[in-house]
Amino acid sequence: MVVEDIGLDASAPLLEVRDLRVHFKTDRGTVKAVDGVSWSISEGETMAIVGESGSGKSVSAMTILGLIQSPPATFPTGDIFLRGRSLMRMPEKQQRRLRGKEIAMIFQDPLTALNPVFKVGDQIAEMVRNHQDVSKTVAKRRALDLLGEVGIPNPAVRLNQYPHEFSGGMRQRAMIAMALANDPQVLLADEPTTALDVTVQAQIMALLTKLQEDRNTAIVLITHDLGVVASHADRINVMYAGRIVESGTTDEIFYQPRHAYTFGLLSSLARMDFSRQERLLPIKGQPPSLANVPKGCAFHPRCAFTTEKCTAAIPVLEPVGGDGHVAACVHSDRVAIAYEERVVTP
Amino acid sequence: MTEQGAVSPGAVGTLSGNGTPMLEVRNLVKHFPIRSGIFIKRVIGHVKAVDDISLTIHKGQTVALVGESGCGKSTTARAILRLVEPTSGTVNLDGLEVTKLGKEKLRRARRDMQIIFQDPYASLNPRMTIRQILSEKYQLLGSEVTKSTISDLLDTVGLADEYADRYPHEFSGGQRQRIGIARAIALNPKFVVLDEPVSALDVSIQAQIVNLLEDLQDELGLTYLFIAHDLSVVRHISDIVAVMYLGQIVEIASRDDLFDRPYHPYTQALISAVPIPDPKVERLRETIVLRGDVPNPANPPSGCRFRTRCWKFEQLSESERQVCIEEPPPLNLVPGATTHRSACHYAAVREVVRA
Repeated sequence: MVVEDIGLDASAPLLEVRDLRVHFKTDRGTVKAVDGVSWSISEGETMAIVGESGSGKSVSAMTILGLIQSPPATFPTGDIFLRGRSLMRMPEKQQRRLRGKEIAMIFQDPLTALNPVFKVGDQIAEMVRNHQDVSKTVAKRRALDLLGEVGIPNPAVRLNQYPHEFSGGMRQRAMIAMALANDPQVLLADEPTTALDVTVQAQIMALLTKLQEDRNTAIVLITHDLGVVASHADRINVMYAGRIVESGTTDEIFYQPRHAYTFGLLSSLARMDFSRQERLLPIKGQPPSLANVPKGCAFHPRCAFTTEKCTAAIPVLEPVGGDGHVAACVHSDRVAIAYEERVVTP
Repeated sequence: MTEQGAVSPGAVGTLSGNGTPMLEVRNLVKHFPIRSGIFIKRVIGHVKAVDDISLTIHKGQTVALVGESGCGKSTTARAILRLVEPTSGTVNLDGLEVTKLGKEKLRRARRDMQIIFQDPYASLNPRMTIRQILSEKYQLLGSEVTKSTISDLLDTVGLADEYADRYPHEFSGGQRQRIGIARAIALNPKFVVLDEPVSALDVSIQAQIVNLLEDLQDELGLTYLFIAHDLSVVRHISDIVAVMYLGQIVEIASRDDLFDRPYHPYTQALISAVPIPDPKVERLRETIVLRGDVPNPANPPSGCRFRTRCWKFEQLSESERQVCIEEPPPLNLVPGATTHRSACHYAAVREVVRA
């Protein structure tokens, strides 16, 4: 099956998410997992979505791939565009053709994402045959090439092994091979290295970087690891309680944070490259339950800058200098000053 | 936190030293038998999870044990506490030979040595209230619970008294970890193993727990063995860092020596692989990408166990490699050092933190 022309506009942004809301009705009220999120990504770009557990970062990615069932989920507003074509208003059948072909995803835990009863090679070949009209032999050969390309030694042997025979790093490579099977334009990487050791993480990130250079793939990197983000992202969206609270280039986010939450995150980190003599500066309290998000700015109960202005209304993203650097914080000026004055002892 | 100067010479790996040793581990070995067969289970080999580890931790110090999953760091900690029975070797806690204790004496000694687990979800009984979980500790080890005991304890770890009658599921991850910490420090232990205590927590919560652990160490004079794979937290909290690979310590040094002047190629690769949350620093850094995975600990490579993945080994000539293949490298002092040890035939310093 070959994807025919379904009206994709080459001049539109590669992938765009516009005012997306994903809500879940539960006994304890409506859980607003994603509550008005917008972003876009171009080819060859790496955009990070950073946030803590429960900030809505994974749900937004899963919605793009149609992995969120409705019901229970509702989508009060929002749309997702691939080259100008709405994914959410597209018939299921057409969506399926795009999933795994134009947009692919790699998950945090490759052991649960791979089917334990099928050979790794067959799973990759199936992915090829789902989207391309080729024979089993050709698909299998393609799977072999892909395993080689993602750096799996002895691909001919590995092809006929089951996921449990692979180590964690090898499984993640196999999953990347599967995601790349149809040359996707966008790769959604949801915590791709969180379950791996750092030396293996370095291998996987180097692999993703190389593949991106070769194919000009756009990568949406969903993670909580600010180190991985600093070394790999071009732009960053910081999420808190279902919303993007700050967005900018990697340098802007790290060197000119304008949202109190971004500032708090950066200040709380321990550094490996120098001995910090002073105590760490944690953010007090804990992330809110998404069924019961605080009034106004969701971060205000934990924030060091809070005034009564913070509870009056939900702050919107506003330009804070720089090209496209935006923050939803009424105290962005005070955050800027505090960041300049912070104590750092390298 | 102990200052740099307080790390005495001899604190590392040897018996001499100025401070008072709280924990002395000598030649600790833990081999797990591999059995095969249906009716008659024959032992066909051993997983050498911990293979001859020696370690000294002085009073009030924090020693970190780092390495990848499967390197034996958690098994080492469990063998020290005798949560798994060591195959051989001795553990001495404040003058008491833990490895020689009988069942009853060991139970009493547990008062002094505690552990905080990685997963606060799995390590608390969901059917017991926090008060029951904490009171059980006192009852088991024969201590009295007065009216204020539990509230005082909760206060110490930064939890309000009213939480005492709730169940674990009502708490967030960070709060549960505080409960795990409360349980560990309840009976004023001397020595606490922290087994990845912040790995399961959100970034903004990690700093809270790290600070709490440091405060408790200062207030109660605790000695910590910190098991971790997150090197940033290790650099912040530790006095001494030991790097493990396949059941053995390959490098041990004070934390600044280890991070700023690592000698072992594995330590160098490990540090270089940790991304630093600073884009400008990251752009200048070079990551040493190791090939392949950790070998099977049931059948480790001959000679130096790291050689199959070693970037330095790859650069050596055929004749230079012989020693790596044939001889296990001893954990020797590096040139000019009094405490810094490294187990590599070709050990040489390489800057990896910022270059």
